[in-house]
Amino acid sequence: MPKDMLLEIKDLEISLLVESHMVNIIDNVSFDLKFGEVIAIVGESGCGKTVTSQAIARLLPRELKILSGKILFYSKIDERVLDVCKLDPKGKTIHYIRGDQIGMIFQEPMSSFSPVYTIGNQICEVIRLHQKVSKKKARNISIELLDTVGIPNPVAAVDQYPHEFSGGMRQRAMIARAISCNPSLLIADEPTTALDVTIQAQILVLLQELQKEFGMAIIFITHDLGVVAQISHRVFIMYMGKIVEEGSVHDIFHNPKHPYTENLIHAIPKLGNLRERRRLVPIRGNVPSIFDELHGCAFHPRCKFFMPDKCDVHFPKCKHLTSNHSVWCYLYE
Amino acid sequence: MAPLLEIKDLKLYYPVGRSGLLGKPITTVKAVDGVSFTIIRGESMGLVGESGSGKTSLGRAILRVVEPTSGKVLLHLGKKIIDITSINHDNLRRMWKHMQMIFQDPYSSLNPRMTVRDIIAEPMVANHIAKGSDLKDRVVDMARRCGLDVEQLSRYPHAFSGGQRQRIGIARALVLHPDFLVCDEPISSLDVSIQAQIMNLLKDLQQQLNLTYLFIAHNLSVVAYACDRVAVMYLGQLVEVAPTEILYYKPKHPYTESLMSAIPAPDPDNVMEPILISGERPNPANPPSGCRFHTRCQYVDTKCETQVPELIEYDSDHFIACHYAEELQLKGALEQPAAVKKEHT
Repeated sequence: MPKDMLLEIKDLEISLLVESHMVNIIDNVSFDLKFGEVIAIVGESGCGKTVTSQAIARLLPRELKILSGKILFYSKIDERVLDVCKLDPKGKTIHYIRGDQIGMIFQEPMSSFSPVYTIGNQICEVIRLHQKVSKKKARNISIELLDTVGIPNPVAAVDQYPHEFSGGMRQRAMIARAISCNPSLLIADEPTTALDVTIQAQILVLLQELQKEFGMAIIFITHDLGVVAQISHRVFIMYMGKIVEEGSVHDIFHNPKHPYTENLIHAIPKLGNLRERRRLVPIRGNVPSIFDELHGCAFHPRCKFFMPDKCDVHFPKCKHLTSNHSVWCYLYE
Repeated sequence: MAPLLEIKDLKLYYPVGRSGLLGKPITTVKAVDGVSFTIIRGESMGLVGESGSGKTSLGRAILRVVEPTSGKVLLHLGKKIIDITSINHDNLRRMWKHMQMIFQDPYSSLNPRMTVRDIIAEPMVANHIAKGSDLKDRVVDMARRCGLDVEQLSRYPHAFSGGQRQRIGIARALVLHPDFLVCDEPISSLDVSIQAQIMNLLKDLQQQLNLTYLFIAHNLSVVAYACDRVAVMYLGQLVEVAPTEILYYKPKHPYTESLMSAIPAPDPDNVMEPILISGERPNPANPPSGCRFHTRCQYVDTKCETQVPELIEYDSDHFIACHYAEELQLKGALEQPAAVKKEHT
C-alpha cells in the first residue's frame, strides 16, 4: 500500500431499486485520493457525483444499494485499512469514522443544522461523540473553531441559533462542525452553490487555508467549473454514473480529451473573450434521465464524434494518456 | 440611442412586523431605495448584486407587478411616453403587452394542469388578441422560434426537462411580441450544458424580435457575456452603472471591485485574489448612514459615514456613487481579454 494513500475506490457499483428491478446509478467507478489532496468530481444533475460521496460515508438513502466494489479507507490513527462497503451502515465502526475522520459539508446549510439547538450545542455534540472531553472543554473548542472559520464574535455566536446566522455564516459554522475532529478527509458537496460570489470566494479561501493548515484531503463535488479550476489539484468528470475523464486540473482545462469535457468547457462564458463576443457553444440535446437505457457510452446521442456500431454498443476502455491523465473514449483507442 | 425605459427615483418599501394583530407596521424594509437609470431600446442591461440587494424587487417594481412606493417608470413607445406608475389598472394590463418577465424556476412558473399549447396561448386569450386558427398559428410560430418541438405542444409541463420548460416560459412571455423582457435569473437553475442553449436562444430572439432585456443574475460571467451595460446594486441602491467591459475591467466603485475580484475563472492559471469584504451585510430595514457600503469598504473615510454619495456620471455612460471615484485606483476582473493576454506571453 502506498504510504500517503487515504482513500481508494475500486469498481464501485451502486443501483437504485425501483419496483423489483435495478437501475445502475454508479457504474464501475474507481479513483483514489492521497493525503492532503484536493480533488473535484464534476458533472451535471443525475450523474452520480453526490451518490459517490454519500457512499464513502455510508450515508446512502435506503433505495440505493452498493452492489459491488470496494471503498478502502486508510485510517490515519490506527493505520487500519477499512473497506467501508463491508461495514454495517449503522454500526460502530462507520460511526467512528464518520465525523471523526470524514467530515462533510453540504449545499444547504439551513437544512443541515437542527433549528432547535444552538450552533454551539451542535458542534459540541460532534466533539463529545468522538473525544472524551468535558462539556466545558467542548464548548471552548467550539468557540475556537468558530473563530478559526472566521465568525465574528465567536463567544456570542456559540449560543446563537442557526436562523440567526446569514447564509455565509451558516456555511462557515457547518465547516467548523465538519472539521471539529480534525478529519483527514472533507467531503464538500456543492458547498458554495447557494452563496453569492463574494461569500463564495471567502469560503473557497477558507477551505484552502484549512486544507494547508491541517493537511486535509478534500473531495469537492460541484458543477461550477470556475470553482473547480480555482481549488482542485485533480479533476474527475462524470457522466451518467461513469467517470469519462480524469486528470490534473491543468490537463482538464488546457488539454481536455473527452468530447464531453471539451464541450463543457466551451459551454461556459469566460471573461477572456468578452470583447470577441463569441457565441457560446452549447451541448446539443438534453441531460438524460437515469431511466433512459443508453448502451455503450452514455454521451453518444449528444456527441459530435459519434461512431455508429461502436459508441452505442460497449463502453470504451480506459486509455491512459499520461501517468495521471486518462480518458474513456473510442477516439483514443 | 433612444431610451425605452426611464426609471426615476423608484422606491419600493415593504412593511414588516406589526404592533398587535391589526396594528401599523413597525418598520419598513427598503428593498429599492431611490433608483434612477435608463434602459436603451435594443440593449441588454445587466443587474447584479448579492442576494437581498433588491434586484428582483427592482425588476418587479419596474413592471409594476408589485406596487412601487414612489418614483416614476416612463415607457417610451414611439412618440408616446407612458408613466407606468400612474396609469390605472386597465391601462396597466394593456402595457403588459409591451413588458413581460421570465423566471428562475422553470418548475414552478408553469401551471401543471395546462398543456403547453394553452400555456403559450394564455396571454393572447387573456388580452383578446387572437383566437381560432390565428391563435394556433401564433402559438406554433413562437414555439418554433423558441426551439420547442411542435408535435409535443399538447403535453403537460411535467413531461419536459428544465431547459425545455424554460423555453416554454420564454415562448409564453414573447408571444405578445413585447418590447421589454425582465429575465430574472433565467439560467441559474439549469444544468451547465443547457445554460448555453438558453443563453444563445435569448440572444437570437433579441435580434429577431428587437427585444430589450433587463437581465438579473448573480453569476457575473453570465452577465458579462449577455449584457451590453451592467448596473451594480447594493442594499437597494445602484452603486455603479457602466458598459460591461468598463465595469468589469475598470470598475470605479469599491463594491464592484470586490465583486469582480471574486469571480472564479475557469482556468487554473488564473488564480483569483479575492478582495474579501469584511463584515456582514447590514440589515436593509436599518441601512447604514452616509454611503451604505461604508461599513464594509476598505477605503472608508469620515466623509463616507455621514454624506450620501449621489450616482453621478463621471465618464460618458459611466455612473458611480462614491465620494472617491476619481481618486481610487481599483482592480478589475482577473481574466484579461484573450488578445491582451497573448501579447504578454
